[in-house]
Amino acid sequence: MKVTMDEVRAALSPEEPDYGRAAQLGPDALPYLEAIMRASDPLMAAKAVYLAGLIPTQRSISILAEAAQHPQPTVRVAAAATMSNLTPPDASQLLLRMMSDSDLGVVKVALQSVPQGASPALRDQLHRMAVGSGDSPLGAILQQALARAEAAISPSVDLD
Amino acid sequence: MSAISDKYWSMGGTASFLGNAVTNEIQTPNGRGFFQHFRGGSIYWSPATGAQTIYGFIRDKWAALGWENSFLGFPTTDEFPTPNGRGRFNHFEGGSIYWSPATGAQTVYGFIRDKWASLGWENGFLGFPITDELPTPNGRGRFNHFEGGSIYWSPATGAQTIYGSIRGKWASLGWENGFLGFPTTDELPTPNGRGRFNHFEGGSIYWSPATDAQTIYGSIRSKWASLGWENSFLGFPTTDELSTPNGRGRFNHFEGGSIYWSPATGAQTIYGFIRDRWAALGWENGFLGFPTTDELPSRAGIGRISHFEHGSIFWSPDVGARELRMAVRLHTKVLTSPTINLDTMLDRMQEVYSTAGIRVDFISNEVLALPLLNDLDVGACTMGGVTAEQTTLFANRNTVGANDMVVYFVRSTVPPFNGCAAHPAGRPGAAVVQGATQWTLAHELGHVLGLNHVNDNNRLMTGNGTGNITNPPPDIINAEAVTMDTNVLTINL
Repeated sequence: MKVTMDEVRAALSPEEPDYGRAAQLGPDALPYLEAIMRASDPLMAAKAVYLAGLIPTQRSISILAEAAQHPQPTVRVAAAATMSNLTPPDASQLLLRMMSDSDLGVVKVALQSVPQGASPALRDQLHRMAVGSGDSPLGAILQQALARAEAAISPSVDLD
Repeated sequence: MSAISDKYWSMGGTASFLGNAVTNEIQTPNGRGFFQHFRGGSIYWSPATGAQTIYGFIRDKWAALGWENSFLGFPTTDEFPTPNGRGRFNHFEGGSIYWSPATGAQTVYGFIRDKWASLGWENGFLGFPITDELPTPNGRGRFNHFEGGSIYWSPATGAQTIYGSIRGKWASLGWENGFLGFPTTDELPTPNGRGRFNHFEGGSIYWSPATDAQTIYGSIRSKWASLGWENSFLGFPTTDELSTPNGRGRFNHFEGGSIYWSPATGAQTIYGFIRDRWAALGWENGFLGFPTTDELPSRAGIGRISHFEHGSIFWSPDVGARELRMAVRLHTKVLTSPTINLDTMLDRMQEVYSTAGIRVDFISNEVLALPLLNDLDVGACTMGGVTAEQTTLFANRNTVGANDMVVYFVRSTVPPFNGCAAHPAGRPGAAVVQGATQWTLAHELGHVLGLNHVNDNNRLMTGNGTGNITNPPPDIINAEAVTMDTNVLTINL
């Protein structure tokens, strides 16, 4: 299916985009999403990045990797949020870097996207963060992320 | 030889207009001087005033007043012709008598005489007096009428000139016995040179060639004064202050609008398209009643609004003047300020909602320091389904009434939306993100008020993105207006 930039923009323009339907544009949309991510509108960039995560290909992972270092925190938030749609290994690799983001909101959403069966590196990172997290506002979210990360390798953990 | 005799012979004696003596030189009854009557007049002398001739109508007037025993006392000049040759006069110790063929002999003295003198005597615009100085009927002051106007004096107000159309208006209202009382200024030119005015104890009369003489006083005058009088956008009054037909208030119309007053609402300006709309609705007798505010600029200056006893009228260049019979109450709570100025968003919301007859009452704003909710998880953003984060955020309803809406401005939502109108039951509101468009606020609250998406980029509720609206401001169709008006969150004004 041939996709145009207009179609991609139309999918992202609504106040509340239907990301499920937009994902049906498929991998042909990814170059346009990448272009939108690099353009000057942060809100459209965030929407593009989020949609890219719903079209899992190597190119979308590349887009998310770039988005994870975007100067706009809201774009990094969108990247972190959509990583929950990736496979655990891919998500773990990208989320690992985001755990040290300087923006509290980015880290919060990144923690919320930690998949079950996260990579050892990510689990280690979460443990390090948990040590001395003390009064951190992210404390509860971090504990939930840690529990989720370790769920696959410790089946006895009750996630509920 | 006496001073009187010297005077008589210096004038030519029997050959002068005085002619033969008809009395001897006699001491005045008050003992202060001497006089001698002649066939053609008299000569009066006192040590202070010397010998002065007096005759004809001026002598008659003086005689009628009691000669030198009157308030005028002894003459201090001979009878002289006025410099303009139109009349004659004598000055006296206590004033003057001026005579002309058209006006007769009239006394003028005291502060009124001083004022008249300062204006050039009979050569001023007032010309000759046509009355004596007389007491006003109410006993509070005195006046002379002149060929060209009047001078009124009272102890409290001094001597002031009044003439022309302003004097005519004042006269029609009962002179100093009317509600205006005595003039407190001369008739003066307005600073802009377009008209003239007198201030009075109880108000003012303003005149211009285009508007004639109109009274203005009380709270309406104070409002007009506060705006800059005739130099304000209102210009000159085009009517007197009048009672409204319903008897509940008063008004003046002006070149540039009106000021309406009632005891309950005070004096308020109204003009332009809003005034036109109000007029079309029946002025103060329409459902809106009296204005309760001046015409005010909207928050971001996109439009203008006047509030009334029972509603408002909003105007903007794009939607014209719209009467607002309903209102929604809106609070904002800010975690991150929107890129589009909040006032602009509120103005745009008011502009669009005005087409549905709804006023947007912005009640309060609060900054919330809730960093963990600043990128708000809104899930699928469906009505009736909210996330834990939405539930937590929307619990912040400090100072918010049960039927008030709250908009929470957040940095972003997860997933990324412009806004999300899903809200917990009993906590009506929406989230709007930093990068939202100028219409997003109105759009999301449209959802809260019961509206659904449509596939029409000319309408507020387009599902294609308010950034794609093709003919701003976007429309609200009648059926949508009915839905909004009947929502429990919409108050009938």
